[in-house]
Amino acid sequence: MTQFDEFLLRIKKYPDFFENVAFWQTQIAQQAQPFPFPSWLHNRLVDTFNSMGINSLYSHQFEAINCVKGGMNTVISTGTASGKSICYQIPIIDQLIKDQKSSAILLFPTKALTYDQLKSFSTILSTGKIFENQKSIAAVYDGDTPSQQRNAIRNNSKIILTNPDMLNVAILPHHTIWSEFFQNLKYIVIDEIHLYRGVFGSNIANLIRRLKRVAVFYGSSPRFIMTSATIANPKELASNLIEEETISIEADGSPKGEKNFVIYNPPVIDKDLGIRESLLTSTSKISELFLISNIQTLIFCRTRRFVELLVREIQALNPRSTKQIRGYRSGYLKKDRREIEEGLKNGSISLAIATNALELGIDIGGVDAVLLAGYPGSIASLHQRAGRSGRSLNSSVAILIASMNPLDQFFARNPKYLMERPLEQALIDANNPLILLSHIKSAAFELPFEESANFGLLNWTHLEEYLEYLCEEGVLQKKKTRYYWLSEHYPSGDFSLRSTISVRILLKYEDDGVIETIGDVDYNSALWMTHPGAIYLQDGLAFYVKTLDLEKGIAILTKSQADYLTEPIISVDIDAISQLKVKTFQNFILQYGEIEVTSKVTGFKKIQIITREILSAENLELPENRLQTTGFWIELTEKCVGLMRSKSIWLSDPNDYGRKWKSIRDSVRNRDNFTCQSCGRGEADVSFHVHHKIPFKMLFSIEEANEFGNLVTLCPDCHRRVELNFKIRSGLSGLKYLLTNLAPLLVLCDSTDLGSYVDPNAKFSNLKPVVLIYDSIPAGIGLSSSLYERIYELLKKCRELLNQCDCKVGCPSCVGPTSEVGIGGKKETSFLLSLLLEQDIK
Amino acid sequence: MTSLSERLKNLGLSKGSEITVLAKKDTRSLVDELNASTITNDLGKIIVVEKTFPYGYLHGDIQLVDQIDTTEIHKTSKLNGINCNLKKIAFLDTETTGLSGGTGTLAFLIGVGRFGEQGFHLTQYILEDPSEESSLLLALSIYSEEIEEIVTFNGKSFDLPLLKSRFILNRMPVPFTHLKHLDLLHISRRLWRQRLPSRSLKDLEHEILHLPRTEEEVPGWMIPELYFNFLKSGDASLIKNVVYHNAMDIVSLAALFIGITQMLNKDLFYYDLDQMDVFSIGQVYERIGEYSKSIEIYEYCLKQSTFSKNFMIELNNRLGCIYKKQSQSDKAVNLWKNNAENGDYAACIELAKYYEHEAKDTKTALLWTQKADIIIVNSKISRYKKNTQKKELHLRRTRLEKRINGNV
Repeated sequence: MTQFDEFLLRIKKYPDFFENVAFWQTQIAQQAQPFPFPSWLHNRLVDTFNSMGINSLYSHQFEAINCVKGGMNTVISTGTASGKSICYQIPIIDQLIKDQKSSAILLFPTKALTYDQLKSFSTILSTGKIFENQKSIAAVYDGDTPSQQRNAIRNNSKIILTNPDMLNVAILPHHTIWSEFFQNLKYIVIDEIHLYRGVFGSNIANLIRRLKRVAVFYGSSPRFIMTSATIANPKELASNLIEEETISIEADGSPKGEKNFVIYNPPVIDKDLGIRESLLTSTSKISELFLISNIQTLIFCRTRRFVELLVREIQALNPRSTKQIRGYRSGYLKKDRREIEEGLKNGSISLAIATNALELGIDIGGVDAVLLAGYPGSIASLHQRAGRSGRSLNSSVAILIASMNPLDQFFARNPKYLMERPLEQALIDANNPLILLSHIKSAAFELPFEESANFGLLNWTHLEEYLEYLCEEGVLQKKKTRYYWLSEHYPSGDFSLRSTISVRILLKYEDDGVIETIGDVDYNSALWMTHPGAIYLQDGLAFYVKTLDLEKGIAILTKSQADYLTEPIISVDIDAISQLKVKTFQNFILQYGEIEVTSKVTGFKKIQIITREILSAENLELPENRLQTTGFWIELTEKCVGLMRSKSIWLSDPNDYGRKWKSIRDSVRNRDNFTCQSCGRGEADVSFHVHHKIPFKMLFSIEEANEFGNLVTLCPDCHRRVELNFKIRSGLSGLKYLLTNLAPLLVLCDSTDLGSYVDPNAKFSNLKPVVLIYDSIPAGIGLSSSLYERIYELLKKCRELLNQCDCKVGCPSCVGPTSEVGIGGKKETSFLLSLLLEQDIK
Repeated sequence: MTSLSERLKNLGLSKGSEITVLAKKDTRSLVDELNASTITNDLGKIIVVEKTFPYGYLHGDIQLVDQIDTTEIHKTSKLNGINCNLKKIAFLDTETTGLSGGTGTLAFLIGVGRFGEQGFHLTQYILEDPSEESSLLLALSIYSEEIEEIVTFNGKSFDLPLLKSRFILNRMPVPFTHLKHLDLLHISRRLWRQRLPSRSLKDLEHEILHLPRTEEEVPGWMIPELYFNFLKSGDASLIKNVVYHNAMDIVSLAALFIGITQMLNKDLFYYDLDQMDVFSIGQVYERIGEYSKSIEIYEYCLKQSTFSKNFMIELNNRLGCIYKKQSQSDKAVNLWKNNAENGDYAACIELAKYYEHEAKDTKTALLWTQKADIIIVNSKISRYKKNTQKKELHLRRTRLEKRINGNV
């Protein structure tokens, strides 16, 4: 038994650890069936691989290179470290041996990956001594490439490794200086396509349209080779990105060592509120077990800030081994990062604490154990990170430490979803008008559009609208049958591939008259994150926002010593512009369409950090923000509301209003002149009710709840209606919380990609109770559209999580925290869900 | 159905400045307005403006001549020092739709000038419609057939790559790849780097040629917009001043070429040249490795009293380095000593090297490093530079000290 296996046995016997283990699965080692190099492969290449110690291929590699050879566009989505790179290296080099003019372009999402891949190519080329001038054959061409080298690279290199941004800004708009390269372009490689979703992905799809347009101009028709992490729809995503038929290879034929996958759910420390031990504490406790036993470990955190906190915490607990404990994230110097990567490889670092900066294929060799401090947001990403454990074929362990987020808790209770092929889809919408417009400009700059042309799958009818619009704007002019770019602008320099919002607000920190820029936020976020008076948090530090100048795009920040945080007060108004799809059920109507969200930050609250007490609220004058997008909404029918009303009795727990309740009640009735404050009716034979405006159970003390200001006289009818409205609101809010938090199970997205809204009397939907989920990107990117189609799946997941949650009235891990009005009705939400799922809505 | 423009507006797109649709004026055609003619070739038609500036014509201070020896200007520009026939040289300048470069930038006016029978003959090809670009390019190709060399100002990084790109986009062979190319920007920079704050063609025209332009002149930055507006409105009068601007640029280019050629050909020491220019010419020859000529010039400059202390230091150093390369160390040492007395760090290091490696006088070498040390401490250079120099000096000193101690 190895030292590592002994370690695993030991922690299994360690009660403080093991009793919180929610799941432990051991995947036994898997042998690989060797496949010979195909006979069409050039001898020299086979010899090269042989001398590198590679004598055969894995099944997916064999299959992939044959597909590519057969002229098919291919996407390979197998596990981490399954040798995906070989699937494009072989066809590219083989082609180059057979025709020394051929070229290939490879797109990587990050610069670091690009340099890693260059190393890999160089190793093969230099081992095989395949080409005389092998040094210049493969080259990185990105923003860091010195300008005096660029000319030589363009003229001599056949394998160009770059990133999408560089292709957008520097290569395509100057394609004529690459004319020979494009004439001979045989392969386009797009690595890690699962990252190209949402806005980024939609931009990439348009970038590919432009790339293909340029290739066609030079008479070449390159094939695509793509790789992806394991997602639900690699084939669909790949063919959406390149708008061509694609073959998908998903069966992983690489050998695997024994892998242990563990979910650790931190112990509950407050059962009523459903509060668990913090992620920071749990993670540092567990990491200590590994540190003591000298097991090399990599911890993944969700934010850069958490990395810093954890490093500090763990170093403080292990003062003697601080040098072996290192943080790793973007923002560190390149030199330090290389040093840490090297330290991981040679073993001098035993614990590295990183963000996703280490998730993608940077070569660090492989560690014994991986800890994930919180669910990383997608199963694809979880697999990528967990896949970092396992040195060659040794056994390894990956532990997911669940946070209080609903998604984390969902997996802690339903680990099977992590083990199966994920449901999450990567979605793009290449025809999002704003994204499309930018790329049509760039494309027109690159080559004039000919009448009745198309742009990718966008046909002439639609394309013409855009071209005419750009003529109106004055940047294009139509002469004879062509549209010419006639403007001094350089359109590719005007937008980012990674977001739709180009206006950014610079954050300037002022200290003793010295001003330094510490970051930026987009315009819309600036309104609620950096309004005047806000406390802005970054890297664990608190800043006070002195001024926000939206015109100049500058926010001035100073040091904050306040004992409070701020929370914006945002008023939201929804307008439905058009209903595009609708499905009617007995208890609800499901709708999808275009909406306009008008939001305005009207003020903010100051909240004491420790007690969470609201210290004051202040008003703000800020411009409103309009977002036209797509969304889906659930409108409850009359019948559903009726059912909720009829059941409303059992929904209310009797409350103990305190000994003095009778006298308080009487004096309130007296104050209100024994008149219903809602309908104006006076008391007759029965005495009226006294209602708590802020519900009794939501306040800390009886005294607080029974304050005069919180009490009002209502007749029984009005009281029931108000209570019901409140209950519906609670149910809807709980549902909203669940839907937005569990949506990433079905569609790959970040929490900020979706917006939500509830209203018991929605103006845009017949004054009925409504819960609405929308894409927070102008014109939408397909998230809510997909969720609309898969609502049954999503609602079922919501119910599954809700039923499994141990809390009493609702907690942050299910329907949301019980601190605000109208949130946290666990029972209400549960009842509502049962109504929504009553009939088979599949 | 809402229009796309409305839709984009609702999505938050702020439209660029709303363009005012220029009314199609019932004006004169481009040909009439410019007094131009239309020529046709295999690919279509193109508008041409032609003009001749007779020999003897004064462009500022420079007189147009029909013969000149171009050996020196070619040599100093590293284009094998040959005397190219002046009449085989084309002076070229383009007007474009922008400065950003890339495939979306168009050259809508290509002006070329040559010394011919009657004088300097200027030909300007103008693109009336972007769809006729291929005939414009073909016209240039035909023009280039009788040419051996192109002279431009900043053409290396702007005009020629742009034209090359246009030829590729029109799937036409690039006609000038085999031609010699002389970019006057580079030699102008070397000649006037120290004397003039700016070496743009406009400033050289003013400072060197002493030429004023008439009110017909338009500033360069306005040119793209004028062309766009012409295309939209058809108002040919918008282009008139652009044509003037381009014509002046080309004649100035030719005049500058003559001016520089004459400067290099003349006997520097008896001709009334700015002393700074003489020094610069020395550097031009130093760069191409013609040391005898640069020594001659530098020695001459040393005898002049017009140079400031800083320039004297630079002069001494340059001359010292050349003497060092030619193994005339004694001469170099004197120059360095001069500089060292004036507080020059580089000279001290050179002296230290000389005494250590050539004279084998370790003690004197050490003295010079100590002197260098004092200079650094008191100098006002950036801290980063200071630190690297200090490090370098430290290595040298410890090595020397070790050797001295070892010998003792």
